[in-house]
Amino acid sequence: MISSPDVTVVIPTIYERRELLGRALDSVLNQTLAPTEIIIIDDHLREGAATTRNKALAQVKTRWVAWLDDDDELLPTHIQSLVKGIRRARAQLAYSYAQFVGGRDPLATSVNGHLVSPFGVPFGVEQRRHLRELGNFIPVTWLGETELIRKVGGFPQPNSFPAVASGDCEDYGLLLRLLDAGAEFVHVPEVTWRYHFHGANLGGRGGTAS
Amino acid sequence: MRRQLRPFYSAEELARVYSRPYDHTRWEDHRTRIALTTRLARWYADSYRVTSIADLSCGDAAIVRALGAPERLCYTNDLLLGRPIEEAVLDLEPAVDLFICTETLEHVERPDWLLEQIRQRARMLILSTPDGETTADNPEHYWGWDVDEIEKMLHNAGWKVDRLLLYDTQLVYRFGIWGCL
Repeated sequence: MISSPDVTVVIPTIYERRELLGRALDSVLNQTLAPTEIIIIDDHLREGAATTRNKALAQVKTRWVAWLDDDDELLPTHIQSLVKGIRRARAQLAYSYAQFVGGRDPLATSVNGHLVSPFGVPFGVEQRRHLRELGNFIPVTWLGETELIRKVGGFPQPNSFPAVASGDCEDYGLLLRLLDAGAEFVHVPEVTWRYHFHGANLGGRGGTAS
Repeated sequence: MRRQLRPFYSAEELARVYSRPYDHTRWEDHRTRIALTTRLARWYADSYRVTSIADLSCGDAAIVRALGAPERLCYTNDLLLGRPIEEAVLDLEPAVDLFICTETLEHVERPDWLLEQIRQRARMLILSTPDGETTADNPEHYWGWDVDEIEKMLHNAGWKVDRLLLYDTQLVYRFGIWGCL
């Protein structure tokens, strides 16, 4: 195991999902590159995802922060791959791809005007435009630069930002804020985490393939 | 930050303060904290082929019982006949692979000494303690401190921090949970 990647993994949760949380935590412990800290924050007051994530963000002391939802899990090389990718590209945000368990891959991005799976598609002008005009295809399980995320104000409340799908999630709003701030995104073309479909998330995430 | 939150108790006062055995299932945040600590301890137990575990706190030893027999040799402090951990640790012989010390350090008069004694008798340590406690609201706690101070204490006692898990309940303070080698 390699150590000291200067990464904090944040897992927001609620008490009722304690069993799911255990699986998520195990997946972080099993990383080939162990994070400096793991922050698990309980939305005890039911303030919502944006507020809870921002409260966790305020506690992060490392250069990079990686997000993990309590119902998902990381594959062992997730942090190592994303840190390598963000360093190599000198980017401010790195995202990889997921294995979808119990459902169909719901994500799509644009390539030459057609909707395709984002897996393996480098983040370029068309992806930037897709994010702004068509919707999100980058689930929140990414790694980003802590200071820049703070500088743009963190996660906005749902429905508080002008976007094609204004009711979309707080993580989409943050991506738009980062784009506005000139952040560079890089796609690491590897499957490094698992998205689990279950009763509470069957609607999928972000931009959907037609 | 390190702060002594109250004067040390006399023996009579201690008996009054600890009149009821600890039962972690009484509080929602403690149930989650125990579940997370057990996950971390199990990860060390499995990753490092642990064959012996000790938890000598006067709690309900929930983590050791979750990980323990018959696969592993377990040492616990009997709930009713149990002695203070400062006494029990001196009798821990031979040394164990993994020592569990959760929500205990803030209750003892000499936490630095206790960490040193555990170091002499254990290969690995799972430690949990409140992070950022500054008020004397909990009558059982002598000490309040933060992550930096705890890591300084661990270092001085000869421990190397391997993993740190912070569980923020958004109630009074965070729980810091460390895996140390």
